[in-house]
Amino acid sequence: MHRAKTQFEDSNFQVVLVGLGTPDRTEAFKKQFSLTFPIICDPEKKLYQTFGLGRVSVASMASPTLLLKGLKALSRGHTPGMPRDDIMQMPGVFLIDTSGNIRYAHYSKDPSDNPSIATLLALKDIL
Amino acid sequence: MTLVEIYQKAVDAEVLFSDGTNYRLSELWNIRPLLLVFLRHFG
Repeated sequence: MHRAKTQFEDSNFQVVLVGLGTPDRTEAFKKQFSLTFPIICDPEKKLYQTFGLGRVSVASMASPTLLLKGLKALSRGHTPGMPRDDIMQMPGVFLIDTSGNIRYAHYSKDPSDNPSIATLLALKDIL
Repeated sequence: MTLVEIYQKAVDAEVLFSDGTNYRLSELWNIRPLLLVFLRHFG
């Protein structure tokens, strides 16, 4: 997503990330990966809960589908770092228009279920 | 993956950014459409 930052800016979105870390840890994470998107700190998961993002089940984490996705990612050179925070917390994406209406919501079905960059960029057409 | 088109009001909340600044979410979406991306963890 960071690599597509210019495309998001051209789409007139403002991209804001939400993470589970404290401000200090989040800043360290941003620095480590040279991230420039602003990041909201939500270590108590209040915002996650407000937007209806729950936790993945243990069964889902051990599903063959997810394991296969993990193996594919490994084969492409993507290695997981040391997980911190609540690894069971599910991610999500929301597009909020300038009137405060949620126009699109993505509730991940499993930890690997994320919309593609192309899908997110295409959301500009619905505004 | 499921993208659901819904049309409901987002809850306006006060949030803390990693640089120590505080804003209400409405201060952000009032300027430009806001793409709010919730991460899993910093792993």
